[in-house]
Amino acid sequence: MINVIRILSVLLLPLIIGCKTVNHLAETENVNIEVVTDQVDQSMESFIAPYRSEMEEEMQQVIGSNASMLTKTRPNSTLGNVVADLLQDQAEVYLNIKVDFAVQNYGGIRINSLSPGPITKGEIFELMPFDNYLLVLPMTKKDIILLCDRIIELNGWPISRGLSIIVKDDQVSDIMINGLPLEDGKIYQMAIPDYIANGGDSCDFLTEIEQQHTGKYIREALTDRISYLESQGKPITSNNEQRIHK
Amino acid sequence: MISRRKFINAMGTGGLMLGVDLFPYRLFDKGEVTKITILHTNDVHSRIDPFPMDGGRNEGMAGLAARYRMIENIRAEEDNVLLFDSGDIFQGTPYFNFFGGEVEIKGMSKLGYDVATIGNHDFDGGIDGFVKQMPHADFDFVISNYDVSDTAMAPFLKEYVIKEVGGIRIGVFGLGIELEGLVPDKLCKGVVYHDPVSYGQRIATHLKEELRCDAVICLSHLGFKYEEDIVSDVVLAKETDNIDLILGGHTHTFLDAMVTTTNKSDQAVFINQAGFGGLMLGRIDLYFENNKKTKCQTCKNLFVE
Repeated sequence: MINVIRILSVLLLPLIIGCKTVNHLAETENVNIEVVTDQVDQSMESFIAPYRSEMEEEMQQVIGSNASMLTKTRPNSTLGNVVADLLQDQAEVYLNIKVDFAVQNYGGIRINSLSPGPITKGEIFELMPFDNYLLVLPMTKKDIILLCDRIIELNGWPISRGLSIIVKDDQVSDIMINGLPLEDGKIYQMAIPDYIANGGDSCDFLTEIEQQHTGKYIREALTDRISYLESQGKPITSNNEQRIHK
Repeated sequence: MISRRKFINAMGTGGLMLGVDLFPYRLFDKGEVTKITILHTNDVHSRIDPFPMDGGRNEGMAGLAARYRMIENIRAEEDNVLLFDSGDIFQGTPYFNFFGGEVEIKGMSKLGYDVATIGNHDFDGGIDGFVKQMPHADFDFVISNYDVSDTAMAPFLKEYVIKEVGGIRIGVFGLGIELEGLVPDKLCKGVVYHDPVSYGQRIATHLKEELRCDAVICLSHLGFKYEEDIVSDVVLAKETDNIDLILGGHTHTFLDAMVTTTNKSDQAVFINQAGFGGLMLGRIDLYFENNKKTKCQTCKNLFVE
Protein backbone atom coordinates (compact mmCIF):
# COMPACT_ATOMS: atom_id res chain seq x y z
CA MET A 1 0.00 0.00 0.00
CA ILE A 2 1.68 3.11 -1.14
CA ASN A 3 -0.15 6.37 -1.21
CA VAL A 4 1.59 9.14 -2.94
CA ILE A 5 0.41 12.64 -2.45
CA ARG A 6 1.81 15.82 -3.67
CA ILE A 7 1.35 18.91 -1.68
CA LEU A 8 2.17 22.37 -2.79
CA SER A 9 2.85 25.00 -0.30
CA VAL A 10 4.43 28.33 0.24
CA LEU A 11 6.44 29.56 3.10
CA LEU A 12 7.06 33.21 3.51
CA LEU A 13 10.51 33.14 4.95
CA PRO A 14 11.66 36.05 7.02
CA LEU A 15 13.28 38.68 4.90
CA ILE A 16 16.97 38.25 4.62
CA ILE A 17 18.62 41.46 3.62
CA GLY A 18 21.31 41.65 0.98
CA CYS A 19 22.03 39.67 -2.12
CA LYS A 20 22.18 36.28 -0.41
CA THR A 21 20.13 33.62 -2.09
CA VAL A 22 17.13 32.22 -0.31
CA ASN A 23 15.85 28.66 -0.16
CA HIS A 24 12.08 28.59 -0.21
CA LEU A 25 10.25 25.42 0.67
CA ALA A 26 8.19 25.20 -2.49
CA GLU A 27 6.73 21.73 -2.56
CA THR A 28 6.38 18.63 -0.47
CA GLU A 29 5.72 15.05 -1.43
CA ASN A 30 4.75 12.30 0.98
CA VAL A 31 4.60 8.52 0.95
CA ASN A 32 4.09 6.45 4.08
CA ILE A 33 5.64 3.10 3.27
CA GLU A 34 4.70 -0.20 4.85
CA VAL A 35 7.80 -2.05 6.08
CA VAL A 36 7.46 -5.53 4.59
CA THR A 37 10.12 -8.14 5.15
CA ASP A 38 10.60 -9.63 1.70
CA GLN A 39 14.04 -8.01 1.56
CA VAL A 40 16.27 -7.74 4.60
CA ASP A 41 19.74 -6.44 5.19
CA GLN A 42 22.11 -9.24 6.15
CA SER A 43 24.56 -7.09 8.10
CA MET A 44 21.72 -5.96 10.35
CA GLU A 45 20.63 -9.57 10.71
CA SER A 46 24.13 -10.55 11.86
CA PHE A 47 24.17 -7.66 14.32
CA ILE A 48 20.89 -8.86 15.90
CA ALA A 49 21.61 -12.60 15.82
CA PRO A 50 23.77 -12.93 18.98
CA TYR A 51 21.27 -10.94 21.07
CA ARG A 52 18.40 -12.98 19.70
CA SER A 53 20.03 -16.31 20.43
CA GLU A 54 20.79 -15.20 24.00
CA MET A 55 17.07 -14.63 24.61
CA GLU A 56 15.61 -17.30 22.43
CA GLU A 57 15.80 -20.35 24.66
CA GLU A 58 13.96 -18.65 27.51
CA MET A 59 11.47 -16.80 25.33
CA GLN A 60 10.43 -19.88 23.39
CA GLN A 61 9.56 -21.84 26.51
CA VAL A 62 5.93 -22.93 26.34
CA ILE A 63 4.27 -22.12 29.66
CA GLY A 64 0.67 -23.05 28.91
CA SER A 65 -2.00 -22.86 26.29
CA ASN A 66 -4.81 -20.65 25.11
CA ALA A 67 -8.13 -22.16 24.03
CA SER A 68 -9.39 -19.44 21.67
CA MET A 69 -8.52 -16.11 20.07
CA LEU A 70 -8.42 -13.36 22.70
CA THR A 71 -8.65 -9.73 21.67
CA LYS A 72 -8.27 -6.39 23.40
CA THR A 73 -11.04 -3.83 23.07
CA ARG A 74 -12.78 -1.22 25.25
CA PRO A 75 -14.60 -1.22 27.53
CA ASN A 76 -14.78 -5.05 27.79
CA SER A 77 -12.71 -7.65 26.01
CA THR A 78 -11.86 -11.31 26.11
CA LEU A 79 -8.14 -10.60 26.58
CA GLY A 80 -8.79 -7.97 29.26
CA ASN A 81 -11.12 -10.28 31.20
CA VAL A 82 -8.64 -13.15 31.16
CA VAL A 83 -5.69 -10.99 32.24
CA ALA A 84 -7.63 -9.39 35.12
CA ASP A 85 -8.93 -12.78 36.32
CA LEU A 86 -5.43 -14.28 36.23
CA LEU A 87 -4.14 -11.37 38.34
CA GLN A 88 -6.96 -11.70 40.89
CA ASP A 89 -6.32 -15.44 41.25
CA GLN A 90 -2.54 -15.19 41.42
CA ALA A 91 -2.56 -12.30 43.93
CA GLU A 92 -4.59 -14.58 46.24
CA VAL A 93 -1.93 -17.29 45.89
CA TYR A 94 1.01 -14.94 46.54
CA LEU A 95 -0.46 -13.28 49.62
CA ASN A 96 -2.69 -16.11 50.82
CA ILE A 97 -5.66 -13.77 51.25
CA LYS A 98 -9.05 -13.38 49.61
CA VAL A 99 -8.82 -10.81 46.78
CA ASP A 100 -12.17 -9.30 45.78
CA PHE A 101 -11.23 -8.01 42.36
CA ALA A 102 -8.36 -6.95 40.10
CA VAL A 103 -7.91 -3.92 37.86
CA GLN A 104 -5.41 -3.66 35.00
CA ASN A 105 -4.91 -0.42 33.08
CA TYR A 106 -5.81 -0.79 29.40
CA GLY A 107 -2.55 0.73 28.18
CA GLY A 108 -0.55 -1.81 30.18
CA ILE A 109 -1.62 -4.64 27.89
CA ARG A 110 0.62 -4.17 24.89
CA ILE A 111 -0.70 -6.72 22.41
CA ASN A 112 -3.97 -6.49 20.52
CA SER A 113 -4.65 -10.20 20.47
CA LEU A 114 -3.45 -13.57 21.71
CA SER A 115 -3.91 -16.43 19.27
CA PRO A 116 -5.11 -19.87 20.31
CA GLY A 117 -2.47 -22.53 20.91
CA PRO A 118 0.65 -22.83 23.04
CA ILE A 119 1.64 -19.70 24.99
CA THR A 120 5.36 -18.89 25.11
CA LYS A 121 7.13 -16.87 27.75
CA GLY A 122 8.02 -14.40 24.98
CA GLU A 123 4.34 -13.75 24.30
CA ILE A 124 3.78 -12.84 27.94
CA PHE A 125 6.74 -10.44 27.71
CA GLU A 126 5.07 -8.78 24.73
CA LEU A 127 1.69 -8.73 26.47
CA MET A 128 3.23 -7.10 29.56
CA PRO A 129 6.72 -5.78 28.87
CA PHE A 130 6.70 -3.34 31.78
CA ASP A 131 8.45 -4.17 35.00
CA ASN A 132 5.32 -3.29 36.96
CA TYR A 133 4.71 -5.06 40.25
CA LEU A 134 1.48 -6.65 41.39
CA LEU A 135 0.13 -5.07 44.56
CA VAL A 136 -2.97 -5.55 46.67
CA LEU A 137 -4.68 -2.49 48.16
CA PRO A 138 -7.37 -2.39 50.86
CA MET A 139 -10.12 -0.29 49.28
CA THR A 140 -13.04 1.51 50.89
CA LYS A 141 -16.31 2.22 49.13
CA LYS A 142 -15.12 5.78 48.51
CA ASP A 143 -11.82 4.60 46.99
CA ILE A 144 -13.61 2.18 44.68
CA ILE A 145 -16.04 4.86 43.48
CA LEU A 146 -13.14 7.23 42.67
CA LEU A 147 -11.30 4.50 40.76
CA CYS A 148 -14.39 3.37 38.83
CA ASP A 149 -15.10 7.00 37.87
CA ARG A 150 -11.56 7.25 36.52
CA ILE A 151 -11.85 3.91 34.68
CA ILE A 152 -15.02 5.06 32.94
CA GLU A 153 -13.53 8.48 32.23
CA LEU A 154 -10.74 6.59 30.41
CA ASN A 155 -13.31 4.58 28.39
CA GLY A 156 -12.95 1.37 30.38
CA TRP A 157 -10.14 -0.84 31.66
CA PRO A 158 -9.88 -4.61 32.11
CA ILE A 159 -11.49 -5.61 35.43
CA SER A 160 -11.78 -9.07 36.94
CA ARG A 161 -14.96 -11.08 37.51
CA GLY A 162 -15.34 -9.72 41.08
CA LEU A 163 -16.20 -6.21 39.91
CA SER A 164 -18.98 -4.88 37.73
CA ILE A 165 -19.64 -1.29 36.78
CA ILE A 166 -22.93 -0.03 35.43
CA VAL A 167 -22.64 3.08 33.29
CA LYS A 168 -25.43 5.48 32.37
CA ASP A 169 -24.85 8.57 30.22
CA ASP A 170 -21.08 8.04 30.42
CA GLN A 171 -21.18 8.20 34.24
CA VAL A 172 -20.86 5.40 36.76
CA SER A 173 -24.36 4.70 38.05
CA ASP A 174 -23.75 1.54 40.07
CA ILE A 175 -20.89 -0.66 41.27
CA MET A 176 -21.17 -4.27 42.39
CA ILE A 177 -18.55 -6.44 44.09
CA ASN A 178 -19.23 -10.15 43.66
CA GLY A 179 -22.81 -9.32 42.77
CA LEU A 180 -23.45 -7.19 45.86
CA PRO A 181 -23.66 -3.42 46.28
CA LEU A 182 -20.74 -1.60 47.92
CA GLU A 183 -20.99 -1.41 51.71
CA ASP A 184 -19.96 1.50 53.90
CA GLY A 185 -17.19 0.61 56.31
CA LYS A 186 -16.22 -2.56 54.46
CA ILE A 187 -12.67 -3.11 53.15
CA TYR A 188 -12.29 -4.76 49.76
CA GLN A 189 -8.97 -6.22 48.61
CA MET A 190 -7.97 -5.13 45.11
CA ALA A 191 -5.08 -6.44 42.99
CA ILE A 192 -3.55 -3.73 40.78
CA PRO A 193 -0.23 -2.81 39.08
CA ASP A 194 2.06 -0.58 41.16
CA TYR A 195 2.10 1.87 38.23
CA ILE A 196 -1.54 2.72 38.92
CA ALA A 197 -1.31 2.42 42.72
CA ASN A 198 1.50 4.99 42.61
CA GLY A 199 -0.67 7.49 40.78
CA GLY A 200 -0.12 6.54 37.12
CA ASP A 201 -2.81 7.48 34.57
CA SER A 202 -3.77 10.28 36.98
CA CYS A 203 -4.92 7.96 39.76
CA ASP A 204 -3.33 10.16 42.45
CA PHE A 205 -6.14 9.32 44.87
CA LEU A 206 -4.66 5.80 45.25
CA THR A 207 -1.23 6.92 46.43
CA GLU A 208 -2.19 7.33 50.10
CA ILE A 209 -3.57 3.79 50.37
CA GLU A 210 -1.44 1.19 52.13
CA GLN A 211 0.17 -1.29 49.70
CA GLN A 212 0.63 -5.01 50.14
CA HIS A 213 3.47 -6.02 47.89
CA THR A 214 3.49 -9.42 46.18
CA GLY A 215 7.14 -8.94 45.21
CA LYS A 216 6.23 -10.20 41.74
CA TYR A 217 5.99 -8.47 38.39
CA ILE A 218 2.61 -8.53 36.64
CA ARG A 219 4.34 -10.54 33.93
CA GLU A 220 5.54 -13.13 36.47
CA ALA A 221 2.06 -13.34 37.99
CA LEU A 222 0.58 -14.07 34.56
CA THR A 223 3.31 -16.59 33.77
CA ASP A 224 2.94 -18.32 37.15
CA ARG A 225 -0.83 -18.55 36.82
CA ILE A 226 -0.76 -19.84 33.25
CA SER A 227 1.89 -22.42 34.23
CA TYR A 228 -0.22 -23.51 37.19
CA LEU A 229 -3.29 -23.95 34.96
CA GLU A 230 -1.16 -25.93 32.53
CA SER A 231 -0.07 -28.22 35.36
CA GLN A 232 -3.78 -28.83 36.02
CA GLY A 233 -4.25 -29.65 32.33
CA LYS A 234 -6.20 -26.42 31.72
CA PRO A 235 -5.75 -23.82 29.02
CA ILE A 236 -6.71 -20.21 29.62
CA THR A 237 -10.22 -19.76 28.29
CA SER A 238 -12.08 -16.90 26.72
CA ASN A 239 -14.69 -15.14 28.76
CA ASN A 240 -16.91 -12.68 27.02
CA GLU A 241 -18.64 -11.33 30.15
CA GLN A 242 -19.66 -7.67 29.99
CA ARG A 243 -18.24 -6.39 33.25
CA ILE A 244 -18.69 -2.78 32.32
CA HIS A 245 -22.35 -2.42 31.36
CA LYS A 246 -23.30 0.47 29.15
CA MET B 1 -10.83 26.72 7.00
CA ILE B 2 -7.96 28.10 5.01
CA SER B 3 -9.10 31.58 4.27
CA ARG B 4 -7.58 33.96 1.75
CA ARG B 5 -4.77 31.73 0.65
CA LYS B 6 -6.35 28.49 -0.22
CA PHE B 7 -3.84 25.71 -0.52
CA ILE B 8 -3.92 23.22 -3.25
CA ASN B 9 -4.17 20.62 -0.62
CA ALA B 10 -3.55 17.51 -2.59
CA MET B 11 -5.30 15.07 -0.31
CA GLY B 12 -6.95 13.30 -3.20
CA THR B 13 -6.35 12.53 -6.82
CA GLY B 14 -7.89 15.81 -7.88
CA GLY B 15 -5.33 17.70 -5.90
CA LEU B 16 -2.56 15.50 -7.16
CA MET B 17 -3.40 16.17 -10.78
CA LEU B 18 -3.84 19.86 -10.18
CA GLY B 19 -0.54 20.07 -8.38
CA VAL B 20 1.37 18.30 -11.11
CA ASP B 21 -0.15 20.51 -13.75
CA LEU B 22 0.68 23.70 -11.97
CA PHE B 23 4.15 23.01 -10.72
CA PRO B 24 6.73 24.66 -12.95
CA TYR B 25 9.11 21.84 -13.61
CA ARG B 26 11.47 24.05 -15.55
CA LEU B 27 13.03 24.86 -12.24
CA PHE B 28 14.16 21.29 -11.89
CA ASP B 29 15.80 21.39 -15.31
CA LYS B 30 17.82 24.41 -14.33
CA GLY B 31 18.92 22.75 -11.15
CA GLU B 32 17.49 25.54 -9.04
CA VAL B 33 15.58 23.18 -6.88
CA THR B 34 17.09 21.11 -4.08
CA LYS B 35 15.35 17.99 -2.86
CA ILE B 36 15.72 16.83 0.73
CA THR B 37 14.29 13.44 1.64
CA ILE B 38 13.05 13.08 5.21
CA LEU B 39 12.51 9.56 6.54
CA HIS B 40 11.02 8.98 9.96
CA THR B 41 9.70 6.50 12.49
CA ASN B 42 8.08 6.72 15.92
CA ASP B 43 7.09 4.41 18.76
CA VAL B 44 9.26 1.59 17.48
CA HIS B 45 9.06 0.10 20.99
CA SER B 46 12.01 -2.28 20.84
CA ARG B 47 10.68 -3.97 17.69
CA ILE B 48 14.03 -5.35 16.64
CA ASP B 49 12.65 -8.44 14.89
CA PRO B 50 9.53 -8.56 12.73
CA PHE B 51 6.24 -9.02 14.58
CA PRO B 52 5.93 -12.70 15.59
CA MET B 53 4.07 -15.16 13.37
CA ASP B 54 1.17 -15.56 15.77
CA GLY B 55 -1.81 -15.01 13.54
CA GLY B 56 -2.00 -11.35 14.56
CA ARG B 57 -2.58 -8.66 11.99
CA ASN B 58 1.03 -7.46 11.95
CA GLU B 59 2.71 -10.85 11.82
CA GLY B 60 5.93 -10.96 9.84
CA MET B 61 6.02 -7.19 9.38
CA ALA B 62 8.65 -4.60 10.35
CA GLY B 63 12.03 -5.24 12.04
CA LEU B 64 15.38 -3.48 11.78
CA ALA B 65 16.78 -5.60 8.95
CA ALA B 66 13.88 -4.85 6.60
CA ARG B 67 13.82 -1.18 7.52
CA TYR B 68 17.56 -0.89 6.95
CA ARG B 69 17.26 -2.41 3.50
CA MET B 70 14.44 -0.03 2.63
CA ILE B 71 16.37 2.99 3.87
CA GLU B 72 19.54 1.94 2.07
CA ASN B 73 17.56 1.62 -1.16
CA ILE B 74 16.30 5.17 -0.75
CA ARG B 75 19.79 6.44 0.10
CA ALA B 76 21.07 4.87 -3.11
CA GLU B 77 18.53 6.89 -5.10
CA GLU B 78 18.54 10.20 -3.28
CA ASP B 79 21.36 12.62 -2.54
CA ASN B 80 20.06 14.26 0.61
CA VAL B 81 18.44 11.90 3.08
CA LEU B 82 17.76 12.58 6.75
CA LEU B 83 16.43 9.97 9.19
CA PHE B 84 14.52 10.89 12.34
CA ASP B 85 12.68 9.18 15.19
CA SER B 86 10.01 10.69 17.41
CA GLY B 87 10.47 8.71 20.60
CA ASP B 88 9.38 5.60 22.49
CA ILE B 89 12.36 3.75 21.18
CA PHE B 90 12.35 1.55 24.28
CA GLN B 91 9.99 -1.06 25.72
CA GLY B 92 7.72 -3.58 24.11
CA THR B 93 9.73 -6.71 23.38
CA PRO B 94 12.04 -8.85 25.53
CA TYR B 95 15.03 -7.18 23.85
CA PHE B 96 14.47 -4.23 26.15
CA ASN B 97 13.99 -6.38 29.25
CA PHE B 98 17.13 -8.36 28.51
CA PHE B 99 19.50 -5.72 27.19
CA GLY B 100 18.10 -2.44 28.53
CA GLY B 101 17.97 -0.63 25.18
CA GLU B 102 21.42 -1.49 23.88
CA VAL B 103 20.09 -3.29 20.78
CA GLU B 104 17.70 -0.44 20.00
CA ILE B 105 20.33 2.33 20.25
CA LYS B 106 23.11 0.38 18.52
CA GLY B 107 20.63 -0.63 15.84
CA MET B 108 19.53 2.98 15.26
CA SER B 109 23.16 4.05 14.99
CA LYS B 110 23.71 1.34 12.39
CA LEU B 111 20.60 2.48 10.52
CA GLY B 112 22.16 5.93 10.39
CA TYR B 113 19.59 7.90 12.31
CA ASP B 114 20.40 11.62 12.40
CA VAL B 115 18.20 12.88 15.21
CA ALA B 116 15.65 11.47 17.66
CA THR B 117 13.54 12.84 20.47
CA ILE B 118 12.54 11.02 23.65
CA GLY B 119 9.16 9.56 24.49
CA ASN B 120 7.70 8.70 27.87
CA HIS B 121 8.76 5.06 27.56
CA ASP B 122 12.36 6.09 27.02
CA PHE B 123 12.30 6.66 30.79
CA ASP B 124 11.24 3.06 31.48
CA GLY B 125 14.77 2.13 32.50
CA GLY B 126 14.99 5.32 34.52
CA ILE B 127 17.33 8.19 33.80
CA ASP B 128 20.33 5.95 34.50
CA GLY B 129 19.01 3.32 32.11
CA PHE B 130 18.79 5.91 29.33
CA VAL B 131 22.20 7.41 30.06
CA LYS B 132 23.77 3.94 30.09
CA GLN B 133 22.90 3.51 26.40
CA MET B 134 24.17 6.91 25.28
CA PRO B 135 27.71 5.72 24.47
CA HIS B 136 26.07 3.57 21.75
CA ALA B 137 24.26 6.51 20.11
CA ASP B 138 25.93 7.87 16.98
CA PHE B 139 23.06 10.32 16.55
CA ASP B 140 21.66 13.31 18.41
CA PHE B 141 18.78 13.45 20.86
CA VAL B 142 16.80 16.68 20.99
CA ILE B 143 14.21 17.90 23.48
CA SER B 144 13.28 21.53 24.00
CA ASN B 145 10.57 21.50 26.65
CA TYR B 146 12.18 19.27 29.28
CA ASP B 147 14.69 20.93 31.54
CA VAL B 148 17.13 18.12 32.29
CA SER B 149 19.97 20.32 33.53
CA ASP B 150 19.84 18.81 37.03
CA THR B 151 19.93 15.23 35.76
CA ALA B 152 22.52 12.83 34.36
CA MET B 153 20.80 13.17 30.96
CA ALA B 154 21.98 16.74 30.51
CA PRO B 155 25.11 16.00 28.42
CA PHE B 156 23.15 13.81 26.00
CA LEU B 157 20.13 15.95 25.16
CA LYS B 158 20.28 19.03 22.95
CA GLU B 159 17.73 21.77 22.57
CA TYR B 160 18.01 21.58 18.78
CA VAL B 161 20.39 20.60 16.01
CA ILE B 162 20.89 22.06 12.56
CA LYS B 163 21.49 19.63 9.72
CA GLU B 164 23.02 21.16 6.63
CA VAL B 165 22.41 18.95 3.59
CA GLY B 166 22.57 19.86 -0.07
CA GLY B 167 23.13 23.48 0.94
CA ILE B 168 19.86 23.53 2.84
CA ARG B 169 19.75 24.25 6.56
CA ILE B 170 17.23 22.14 8.43
CA GLY B 171 16.58 23.02 12.07
CA VAL B 172 15.40 20.09 14.18
CA PHE B 173 14.04 20.29 17.71
CA GLY B 174 12.05 17.99 19.98
CA LEU B 175 8.93 18.30 22.12
CA GLY B 176 7.92 15.81 24.79
CA ILE B 177 4.68 14.92 26.49
CA GLU B 178 3.82 15.85 30.08
CA LEU B 179 5.43 13.20 32.27
CA GLU B 180 3.37 13.65 35.43
CA GLY B 181 0.81 10.88 35.75
CA LEU B 182 2.44 9.05 32.85
CA VAL B 183 5.96 8.25 34.01
CA PRO B 184 6.56 7.23 37.64
CA ASP B 185 8.37 10.05 39.48
CA LYS B 186 11.33 7.90 40.44
CA LEU B 187 12.10 7.16 36.77
CA CYS B 188 12.25 10.81 35.68
CA LYS B 189 13.37 12.52 38.86
CA GLY B 190 14.61 16.06 38.24
CA VAL B 191 13.18 16.41 34.72
CA VAL B 192 11.09 19.58 34.54
CA TYR B 193 8.35 19.75 31.91
CA HIS B 194 7.47 23.03 30.20
CA ASP B 195 4.60 24.04 27.96
CA PRO B 196 5.30 22.65 24.45
CA VAL B 197 3.54 25.48 22.63
CA SER B 198 5.50 28.37 24.12
CA TYR B 199 8.80 26.47 24.20
CA GLY B 200 8.24 25.17 20.68
CA GLN B 201 7.43 28.65 19.42
CA ARG B 202 10.53 30.15 20.99
CA ILE B 203 12.88 27.56 19.56
CA ALA B 204 11.26 27.50 16.10
CA THR B 205 11.54 31.26 15.78
CA HIS B 206 15.13 31.16 16.94
CA LEU B 207 15.94 28.49 14.33
CA LYS B 208 14.09 30.21 11.50
CA GLU B 209 14.94 33.84 12.10
CA GLU B 210 18.21 34.00 13.98
CA LEU B 211 19.88 30.81 12.82
CA ARG B 212 18.51 31.18 9.28
CA CYS B 213 17.20 27.66 8.86
CA ASP B 214 15.45 27.06 5.55
CA ALA B 215 13.01 24.70 7.20
CA VAL B 216 12.20 23.79 10.79
CA ILE B 217 11.18 20.29 11.79
CA CYS B 218 9.69 19.37 15.15
CA LEU B 219 10.13 15.80 16.39
CA SER B 220 7.16 15.50 18.69
CA HIS B 221 6.04 12.90 21.19
CA LEU B 222 2.93 14.90 22.10
CA GLY B 223 0.44 12.74 20.22
CA PHE B 224 -1.46 13.47 17.00
CA LYS B 225 -4.69 14.86 18.45
CA TYR B 226 -7.05 14.37 21.35
CA GLU B 227 -10.72 14.87 22.07
CA GLU B 228 -9.72 16.34 25.41
CA ASP B 229 -8.15 19.75 25.72
CA ILE B 230 -4.56 18.50 25.71
CA VAL B 231 -1.71 19.83 23.60
CA SER B 232 -1.15 17.66 20.53
CA ASP B 233 0.55 18.00 17.16
CA VAL B 234 -2.62 19.49 15.70
CA VAL B 235 -2.81 22.06 18.52
CA LEU B 236 0.92 22.81 18.26
CA ALA B 237 0.62 23.39 14.51
CA LYS B 238 -2.28 25.82 14.88
CA GLU B 239 -0.92 27.81 17.81
CA THR B 240 2.63 28.43 16.62
CA ASP B 241 4.50 29.56 13.55
CA ASN B 242 7.93 28.97 12.01
CA ILE B 243 7.46 25.20 12.22
CA ASP B 244 7.19 23.60 8.76
CA LEU B 245 6.89 19.94 9.58
CA ILE B 246 5.84 18.04 12.69
CA LEU B 247 6.88 14.39 12.83
CA GLY B 248 4.80 12.95 15.62
CA GLY B 249 4.46 9.95 17.89
CA HIS B 250 2.88 8.64 21.10
CA THR B 251 -0.63 8.02 19.75
CA HIS B 252 0.56 5.26 17.36
CA THR B 253 -1.38 6.99 14.61
CA PHE B 254 -1.34 5.50 11.12
CA LEU B 255 -1.86 8.15 8.48
CA ASP B 256 -2.41 7.24 4.84
CA ALA B 257 -0.90 10.59 4.07
CA MET B 258 0.49 13.46 6.06
CA VAL B 259 -1.97 16.08 7.20
CA THR B 260 -1.72 19.67 6.01
CA THR B 261 -2.92 22.45 8.21
CA THR B 262 -2.16 26.12 8.74
CA ASN B 263 -0.34 27.82 11.55
CA LYS B 264 -1.26 30.99 13.40
CA SER B 265 0.29 33.06 10.59
CA ASP B 266 -1.77 31.23 7.98
CA GLN B 267 1.21 29.32 6.59
CA ALA B 268 1.32 25.62 5.82
CA VAL B 269 2.32 23.08 8.45
CA PHE B 270 2.59 19.39 7.64
CA ILE B 271 2.01 16.72 10.28
CA ASN B 272 2.90 13.08 9.83
CA GLN B 273 3.09 9.99 12.02
CA ALA B 274 4.12 6.44 11.11
CA GLY B 275 2.03 4.12 13.30
CA PHE B 276 4.21 2.14 15.69
CA GLY B 277 6.58 -0.81 15.94
CA GLY B 278 8.43 0.18 12.77
CA LEU B 279 5.46 -1.01 10.71
CA MET B 280 5.71 2.12 8.59
CA LEU B 281 8.49 4.33 7.36
CA GLY B 282 7.32 7.90 6.80
CA ARG B 283 8.84 9.64 3.79
CA ILE B 284 8.52 13.31 2.99
CA ASP B 285 10.44 14.93 0.17
CA LEU B 286 10.98 18.65 0.56
CA TYR B 287 11.73 20.70 -2.56
CA PHE B 288 13.48 24.00 -2.04
CA GLU B 289 13.58 26.72 -4.64
CA ASN B 290 16.76 28.74 -4.55
CA ASN B 291 16.64 32.33 -5.74
CA LYS B 292 17.99 35.74 -4.94
CA LYS B 293 14.64 37.11 -4.00
CA THR B 294 12.76 37.19 -0.82
CA LYS B 295 9.72 35.89 -2.62
CA CYS B 296 9.38 32.37 -3.85
CA GLN B 297 8.92 32.31 -7.62
CA THR B 298 7.31 28.92 -7.91
CA CYS B 299 5.35 29.17 -4.72
CA LYS B 300 3.15 31.95 -6.03
CA ASN B 301 1.56 29.50 -8.41
CA LEU B 302 0.70 27.22 -5.62
CA PHE B 303 -2.34 29.02 -4.36
CA VAL B 304 -5.85 29.13 -5.58
CA GLU B 305 -6.78 32.76 -5.20
